[in-house]
Amino acid sequence: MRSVFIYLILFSVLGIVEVNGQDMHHQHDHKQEALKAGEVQSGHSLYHLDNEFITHRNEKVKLSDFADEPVIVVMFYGNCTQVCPILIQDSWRLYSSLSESTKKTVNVLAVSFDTENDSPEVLAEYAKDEQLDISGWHFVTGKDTDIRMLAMMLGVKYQKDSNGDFAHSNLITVLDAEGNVAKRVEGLNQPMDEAAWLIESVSKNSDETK
Amino acid sequence: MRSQTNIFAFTIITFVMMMLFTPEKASSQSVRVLVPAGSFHSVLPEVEGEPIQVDSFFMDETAITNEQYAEFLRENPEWRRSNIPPIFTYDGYLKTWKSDLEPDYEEVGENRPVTRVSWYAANAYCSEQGGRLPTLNEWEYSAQLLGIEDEAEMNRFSSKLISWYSGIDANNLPEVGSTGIETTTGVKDQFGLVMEWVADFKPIIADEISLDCGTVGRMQTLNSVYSYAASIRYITRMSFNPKITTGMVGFRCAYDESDRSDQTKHEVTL
Amino acid sequence: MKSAITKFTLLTALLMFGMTSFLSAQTEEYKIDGMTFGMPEAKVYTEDYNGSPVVGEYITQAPNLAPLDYEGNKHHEVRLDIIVQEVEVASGVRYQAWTFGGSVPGPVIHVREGDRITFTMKNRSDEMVEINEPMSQMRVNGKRAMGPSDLSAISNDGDWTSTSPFMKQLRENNFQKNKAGIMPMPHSMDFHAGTVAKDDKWRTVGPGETITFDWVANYPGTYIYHCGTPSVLMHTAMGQHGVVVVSPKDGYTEDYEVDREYVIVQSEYYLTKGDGDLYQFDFDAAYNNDPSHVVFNGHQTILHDQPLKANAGERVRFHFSNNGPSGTSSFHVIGGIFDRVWLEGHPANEMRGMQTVLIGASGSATLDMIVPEEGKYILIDHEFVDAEKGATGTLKAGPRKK
Repeated sequence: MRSVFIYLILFSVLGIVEVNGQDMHHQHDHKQEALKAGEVQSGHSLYHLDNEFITHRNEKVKLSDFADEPVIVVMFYGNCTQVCPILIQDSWRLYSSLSESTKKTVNVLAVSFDTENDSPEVLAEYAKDEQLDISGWHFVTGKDTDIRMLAMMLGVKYQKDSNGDFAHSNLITVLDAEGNVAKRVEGLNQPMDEAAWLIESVSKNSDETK
Repeated sequence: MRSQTNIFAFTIITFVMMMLFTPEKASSQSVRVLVPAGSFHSVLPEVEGEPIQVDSFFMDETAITNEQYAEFLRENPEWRRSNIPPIFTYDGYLKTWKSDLEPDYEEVGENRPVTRVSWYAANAYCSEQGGRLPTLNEWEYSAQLLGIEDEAEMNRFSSKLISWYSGIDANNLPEVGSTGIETTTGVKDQFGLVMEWVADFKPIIADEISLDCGTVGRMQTLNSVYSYAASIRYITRMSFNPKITTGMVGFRCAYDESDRSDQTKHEVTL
Repeated sequence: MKSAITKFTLLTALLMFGMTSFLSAQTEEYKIDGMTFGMPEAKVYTEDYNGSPVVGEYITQAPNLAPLDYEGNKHHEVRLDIIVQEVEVASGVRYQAWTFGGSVPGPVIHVREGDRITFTMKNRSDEMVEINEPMSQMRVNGKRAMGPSDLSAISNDGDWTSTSPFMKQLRENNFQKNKAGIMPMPHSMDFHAGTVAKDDKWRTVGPGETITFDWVANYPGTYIYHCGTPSVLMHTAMGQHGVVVVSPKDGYTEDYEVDREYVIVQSEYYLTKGDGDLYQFDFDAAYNNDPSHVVFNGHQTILHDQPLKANAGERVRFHFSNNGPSGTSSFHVIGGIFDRVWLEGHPANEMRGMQTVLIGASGSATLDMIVPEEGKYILIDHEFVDAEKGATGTLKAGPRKK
């Protein structure tokens, strides 16, 4: 158990270090950490993004609604026929490799950056088509600036061209119980063992602390 | 007499309260300029040869000032220096301000562009105004609408621009609107004041572009002094982290054309 | 557009192929021919540091070279922060330079072949760093320094863990008359003496960010370092360059001992009068290869104002680097012949009896000269246009001493 913890800490730190030179931690950075020590959320938690998003079930949600359990986040868009199905498939592969008990607690957020076309209704259709209109899975849209903010925090780049297509990063992110980036899986068709293992340990961890 | 004083005081207080808390304060609204649809050539290699189409949009005439930003902070305490969490900024956020809500006017003077704000803060500001940060292409498209026809003059302008990039004096920023550099549609100071955040300042191609001794050369597909200056700007901007708070980066907001308001200064026939 | 997406996907896929997880992405350290390769991944972070911008025991101001007073190899901890300083480059010509450590050229780093360097650099282009104001802004051993005496005290007990001989020399001999400035820009460090992946180690860091990485000085010689952030022409011309001297582990020759060693850095400035009193970067001049000044050790007259010293009959060694950014140098000493020359400073590249050595941009040579007799010897770039733009210096020789 102890080694799991050490691994977990290692992953959290390295996971952040990996963000293209963004969000780097260092021992000198303790001042910022100390400021937030008394709070539930760490200073680097994505749950500081306090704005409302809307799901394919027409529910208004905040990211922090998903706190206390690990979250899988993937960004995509509905009209994307080439890589996004693979991205969603990858997320499913990660999700389905989890134990039955973890599947019950983990949430998957598939966030669309096509705020113009991917209305909750379109996303509901998408979820149905992909046979992913299931508990724990949320296809999410929101205000353009909020989506942009979330993408920037995750390190997802996207750009719309004049045909309405998006060039975008392929990234699946695992958030820990507090909303910190715990693992980033970049690229398509990547092995998911480490991410899955991490989710299991986070999930277990949060069970134990309850 | 006493009650009159009270009424007077009450009126003053009410007035002040209204000044402070009226959400749609005229002064907070910047002048928005319509930038008509068009196309331009980017220095990014992904679009070599092909002009980039840009839809019409509104953009602030000038960069957001310290005063405007202070007003945003009054309404949005979570973005104040003492509250902003480290996921949204480095340590230097508004570090030259006297306090959470007071820019150091003695030091900088009034009507200066707000700087030392992270991308996240800039994005939140524009969102709050019902707008957004301009996209990279929108900003760049607008910037090159300078109306300079003569090639030699354009080269002279661009040489100066490069010198400016080598020497942005963050300690002595001029007032917004004072550079005398204005696009044909009336957008001011896109050059000569500060560099500005854009929504996608790290474009998707940023992952593929290797920043090294050859990068500027690889971007010279347009073969002009302007494109040389542009490549310096693109590269500088794309090497920023969204949490960076520096004295040479400010921002202005853009608005979709459907949000057209009566604040429009320039009507441009398309 | 689809092709752009496909291209991007393909590229990402390719990139990811060898990088199934970032943990395995790191190359293990390995050796070839006794040299060490495979450095750990660079770290980029923010730190609360406002101490000396240059830290390291063997770091000096050109033309000085710190003697290596240790046997075998050493692991150096070196810091060169990026700071903006208004400097004088010729009489009456001052500009806001982008510097490594505070001077143009930056400090001379001396190591031995095989040494490992843990390098740290904070981009402080966004803060005023006073370096000639006696230590008031500096911290010594974690405490705020009280005045100039603190620094000399450190040098006296040889504790350079929080500063460097460079800082002491710069303050005692501040010929560029530094003044602190602010000019925030992203920057990076490219050590030619290092053999690493540039997209990791030579990464660009923004104002307020710090980068740390390791490299091993595998090859002996004199190597330029410079900012690798585009426009490299602009960044280097703005002052971001210096040298690392990597002394060969077995020396250059067993035939004789050298009496003196000097570091000479040639470079160009492309400056034009700005709006105020200061000069500024002149893009047209830089682009058209037309420098306003070509100088040794950063200043048009410094090597005449402060001539190098030697005595007749001595063997003097020059570690000469042409830091450019764009020019070549035909290095010659009026009245002397280079007894031995090691091109790039590698002991295997030995040549003898050379009058002039052609050194391209970012090239170097180690040159030994026997000082013939008492008198003046002029160091010169024999490309006379460069000489007349400033690339000259004096070696003043005293009488022969037995």
